[in-house]
Amino acid sequence: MTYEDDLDLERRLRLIAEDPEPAVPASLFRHLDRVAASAANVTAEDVRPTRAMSLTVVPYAERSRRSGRSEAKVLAAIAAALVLAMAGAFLLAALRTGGSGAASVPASVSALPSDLWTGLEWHDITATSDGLFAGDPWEVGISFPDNVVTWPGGLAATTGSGVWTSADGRTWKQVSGPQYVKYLGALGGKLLAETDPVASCDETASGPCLTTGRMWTTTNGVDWTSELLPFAGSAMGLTTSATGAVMTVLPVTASDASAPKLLYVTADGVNWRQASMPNDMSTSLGLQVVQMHGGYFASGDDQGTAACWSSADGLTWLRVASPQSLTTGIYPGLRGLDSLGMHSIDGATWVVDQDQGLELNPSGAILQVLADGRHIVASEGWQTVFYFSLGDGHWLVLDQGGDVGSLPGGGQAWLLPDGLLYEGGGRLFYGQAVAGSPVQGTLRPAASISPPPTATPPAGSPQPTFPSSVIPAPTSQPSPAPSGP
Amino acid sequence: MVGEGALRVTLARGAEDNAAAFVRLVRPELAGAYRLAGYLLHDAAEAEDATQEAVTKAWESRGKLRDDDRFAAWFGRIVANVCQDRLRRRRGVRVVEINDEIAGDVHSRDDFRDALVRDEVGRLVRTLPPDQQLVVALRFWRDLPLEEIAERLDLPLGTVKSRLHYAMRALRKELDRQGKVSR
Repeated sequence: MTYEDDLDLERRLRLIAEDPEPAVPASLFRHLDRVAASAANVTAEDVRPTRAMSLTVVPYAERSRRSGRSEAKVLAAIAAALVLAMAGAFLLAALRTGGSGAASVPASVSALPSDLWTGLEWHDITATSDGLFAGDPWEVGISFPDNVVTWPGGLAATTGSGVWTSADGRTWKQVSGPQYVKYLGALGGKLLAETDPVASCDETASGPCLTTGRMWTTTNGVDWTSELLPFAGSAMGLTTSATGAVMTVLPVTASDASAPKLLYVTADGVNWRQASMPNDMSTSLGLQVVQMHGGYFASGDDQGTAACWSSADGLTWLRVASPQSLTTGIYPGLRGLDSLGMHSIDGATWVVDQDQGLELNPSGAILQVLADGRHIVASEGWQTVFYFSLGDGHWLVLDQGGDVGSLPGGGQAWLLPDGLLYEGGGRLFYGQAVAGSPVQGTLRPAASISPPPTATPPAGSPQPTFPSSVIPAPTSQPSPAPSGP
Repeated sequence: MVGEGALRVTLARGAEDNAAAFVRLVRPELAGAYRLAGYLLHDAAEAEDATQEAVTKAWESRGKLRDDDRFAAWFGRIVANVCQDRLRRRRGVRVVEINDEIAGDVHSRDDFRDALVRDEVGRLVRTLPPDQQLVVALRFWRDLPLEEIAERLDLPLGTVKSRLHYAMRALRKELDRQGKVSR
């Protein structure tokens, strides 16, 4: 079946936007008139900034809290109300799961780690990024770092149209190699780049429409080799670790409209094994896999509610408890998985964060969460504020300074081992993590780490099957769980 | 409707005429831009922000508009880029609704959100990858032909078709799985 045949679905989609459509607010026309009125003799700085992309650079002293702005006050009130609502919902969710939500973070506190981030020192690196951020993305489309990874050769990033490498995060150089990169990852000593074929399914043709991705590997960032992936499908995610990688794949056999998503696991980037998943996981929408404690954790939607699955090796998965439906994001931290407002040390029991006084946007609309297994940074793009956590339920606001002085709002950040990369306002910035300053908040290192529950297949679950073209790989051995700080 | 080439003609007359021409070109596109942003971002306030951002971007980049005749497509691409950018920023963050029971008075009415929750399929569209959401929105909520979508997104026609195909298939699969539709 092609989409053109699904008239029922098309009808239902069109009904969503049937008349009367929402009215256009008059403020939009006023904004347009304002642009025109000021255009004749003013610069862009005089145009009223939008919330998401400020044209006016706000000094730090003014920006830090913006307490004097009525807009901020209104939003703060809304945020506070929503936080209260979410807190109530968390409590409800916790009660439904046996009261775990009422638990508190362990009180024991050891000495703060010496590399605890307390601030960011910002530098404008647009000039040394070798086009990693294209100057005028609006003319030809968005072009900025889409994926940044750490590997033994340093850092690597892609805009989706190539690969850039850097030794220090400040100076980048585009390398020759794969183009149209969809996912970038690091596996052992290798850098991996997955390129999707340009799908060109002929909707009028009969028979399957197959596409096959290509995996590129390099050990030095210069010399690349590539092989077609031994399975057909469109990659939907690539999670890599030192010992293995998991790729989420949507099969694209047009004749099989009910095909669930598949997971493939590799230990070397070349040989792949198909994982065995519970049905509710393979059919989950928004499935995301993260690496944690040497194993893997996945989250997704199960009929509108959040669902989580755990795996020690990526090959066999087991559903575990999840924080009900009020999860704004799941990401790996030092101690486990966090969702904003809740965290878990083992992926099974969820507790409420102690520091709930965050001014994070409760809707998550412009919230970005970054994690590398140790640091968790949540950035609120509009206010350009970065919140930091070690995954133990405590958060602090990172101090900011440096030669930039302020950051344009509405940007996007990527986590580096010692800082952040940030794109905003048509510029690219490097934020060097600063440590050692007094911690103003209550952030404290975790007391202990528990590994995730070992995944065992449910009784009667099917054994993994391997297409004839898939070469079974040696079972990847999860690395030992990291020790506490 | 603004005459063809109005922006180019007025460029030589001075900034005021130039700005007036820009307004005349943008004004007819404003409603469509706002509604596209609203359905994609399912938030009226953010749609307003996104549309303002697109207008500002268009003004700043107006000198790079090579063919005035294609202003609508050019502006539409900027709007699409802004929306896609915002959707991409949400990647890795699962946006969840706070239902009425929980939110009570806090949950204000939003026309776009209301429209999207009228049918389960509206909620499911939001779970698609951003590039697929964009194609679905342009096709069914702005009623653009595939060729124009390809032009606005600067994509090969085949890519637009395949994205729409994958999106529809995913929606159908999920609807069938939920057993909430009879065909």
